[in-house]
Amino acid sequence: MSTYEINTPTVISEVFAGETVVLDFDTGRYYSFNPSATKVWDALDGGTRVDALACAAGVDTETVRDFLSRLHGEGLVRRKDDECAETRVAAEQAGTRAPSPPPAFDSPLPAFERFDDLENLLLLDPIHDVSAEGWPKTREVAKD
Amino acid sequence: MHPVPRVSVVVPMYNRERYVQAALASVLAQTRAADEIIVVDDGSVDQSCARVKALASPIIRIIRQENGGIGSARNTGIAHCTGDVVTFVDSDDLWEPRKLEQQLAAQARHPQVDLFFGHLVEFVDRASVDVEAARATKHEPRPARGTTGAAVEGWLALTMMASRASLDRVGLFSTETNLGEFIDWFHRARTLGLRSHLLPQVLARRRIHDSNTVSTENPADYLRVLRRAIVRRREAEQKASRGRVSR
Repeated sequence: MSTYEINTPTVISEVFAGETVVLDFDTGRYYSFNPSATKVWDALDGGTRVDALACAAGVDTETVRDFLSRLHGEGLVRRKDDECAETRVAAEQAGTRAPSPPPAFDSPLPAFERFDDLENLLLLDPIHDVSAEGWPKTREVAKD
Repeated sequence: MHPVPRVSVVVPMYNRERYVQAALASVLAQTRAADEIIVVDDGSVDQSCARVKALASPIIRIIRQENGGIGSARNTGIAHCTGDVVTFVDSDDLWEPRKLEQQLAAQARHPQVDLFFGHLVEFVDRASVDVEAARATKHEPRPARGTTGAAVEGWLALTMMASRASLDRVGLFSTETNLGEFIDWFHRARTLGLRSHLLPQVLARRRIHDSNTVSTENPADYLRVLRRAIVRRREAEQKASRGRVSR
């Protein structure tokens, strides 16, 4: 059975009150994951198998598979230990049923919202003067 | 708006002794002169202030403060400037000579627009960067889009010209994060319905050097900014929804 992992380091995330915010630096898109998707994402952090992800989120494996397929389509996850990911994904998709439509964000099933309204700014911003020589990280240090 | 607007330039600065003179020279060389330049020294411990004073320009004022980050430094500059329009240049970047002239002309043509931007190009400052050594590490300085020399849309404070009224309407820059403070500000401006215009001309040059930092060094700030943007968007949608129901 397939395993997936988060597409680090270009994809980063943080949980805010049960909702995960995800940013893809490659595309400048950002996402909000609902609580069910947050459970899958949390479990995914350890490269967990699909059946274990389903167990973690309390949904069936097909639901998780569809969700992972959508994440893969967005470029947020990659297949783990897969030397020819594109070929296998294509083969798998050709030989299986079509994924179900994405559930609503407020449903109990894993779902996400995608935002591209700040794409131009996010793609520009990664170079910024924040380092020991430039803007100091005093605030960050203070938080620790 | 006054027929001949007074133009203020806000320059946040922290330990930029190598670059600040070039940045200010690019402002002083404008074909349409700025009326005042507010340099906010954010607690530099190098010779940055001496470099600014050495320019001996009557329109430059230096405001010193304890280190508070780039958002705080910009806010201090905004508090001290007196212009009808406010512009920004970071102390390591450069304006093109006709930046102010072209933006003021655009403002005269489009008085209904609140914020003016332009294109920029990025350049690697090879004098400051041991490129070969840097390549061996994840700290390799790189342009944001990997296209040094090509013009990109400059949705940054570096190219922005804002009327004072627009700045007052949106409010100050966030001081809660060291990254993404302009993204946060611009999202607030857009949520309020402010109108932006992007000039086709290249108005600025952004220096890529050895103390730029790749965002993944400190990414959590971006996520906090984006979380606020998501919440702000939902609140605006709910407000609009209530408005529709009440009608």
